[in-house]
Amino acid sequence: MAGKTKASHVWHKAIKHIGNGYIDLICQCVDPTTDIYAGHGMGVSTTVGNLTIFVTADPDYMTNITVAEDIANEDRYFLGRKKGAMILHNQKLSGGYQIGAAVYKTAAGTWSHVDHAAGQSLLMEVGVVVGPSDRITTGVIKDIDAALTATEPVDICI
Amino acid sequence: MAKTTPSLVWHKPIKVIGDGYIDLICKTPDIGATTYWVGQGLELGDDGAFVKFTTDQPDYNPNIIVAEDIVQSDLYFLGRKHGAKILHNQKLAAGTYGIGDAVYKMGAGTWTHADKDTAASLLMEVGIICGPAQRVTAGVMKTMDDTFLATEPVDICA
Repeated sequence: MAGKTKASHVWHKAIKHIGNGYIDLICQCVDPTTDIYAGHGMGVSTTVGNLTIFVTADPDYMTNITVAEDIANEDRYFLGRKKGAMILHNQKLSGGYQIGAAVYKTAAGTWSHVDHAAGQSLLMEVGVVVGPSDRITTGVIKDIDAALTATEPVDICI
Repeated sequence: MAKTTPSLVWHKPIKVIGDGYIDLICKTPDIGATTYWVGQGLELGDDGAFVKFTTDQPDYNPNIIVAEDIVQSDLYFLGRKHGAKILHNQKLAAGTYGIGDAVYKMGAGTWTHADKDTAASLLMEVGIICGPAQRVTAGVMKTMDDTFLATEPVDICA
């Protein structure tokens, strides 16, 4: 494959489909180095904001995110399916995050990257940064691959 | 009581597509002299069948519960799969399958029986074979109680 994927390689909008009890959306993942097939469960990885392949005996709270379309070697973004999800608007991030980043709501009332090394983020159903995909920041049009900063209101799929 | 077949449970594999869920026929081993009540969580058993969920279950949650009570001698029941969709024109691995079988997408890109003794199938939210209920194979009309082969396209609720 030519190179690792970006969010815009996966889909031109962060949300592909709002289905019957689920939302298909772009999620960030660690390079799987192999194929991961539709239906596979995803858990929180040690790379902040990324999801990874679920492992047996994982005691953490279920993310309720599965693979919606197969993930191939070198993919860094994939289409995930989040069950029973909704979109929260006008949320705040604690740093500069991108579409597809997995986040959890911290005590400070903002959303931070989930991290397998951060105990608190393993106790919750994680959210995913889903927008806005297109926006104007200081007069410049940003697209889906541009980072969202802590000063921008964002959409979170939880 | 005689053991059930898929057609005894419902005349179509999918009973209802509800608000965020699909009720459909699933397979179970005979549960003996007991009853599984509506709402009971299920997990993987052997050869594509579901059994009662157990405490401290470390595997990925299949998100399937009992939609109508299961009684002794039932081999098929109505399960409720949350946040599901129907995939068409899917391929099964070598073998024979029936309506209601739990399957997962394996390395070969086809679907095969999920089984508690197959580690890979414990990492995923499984699919259920749900069609086509009626089909013509080699000029003969088959019904929902007949098996599927690897050469037939099938519908999977995943």
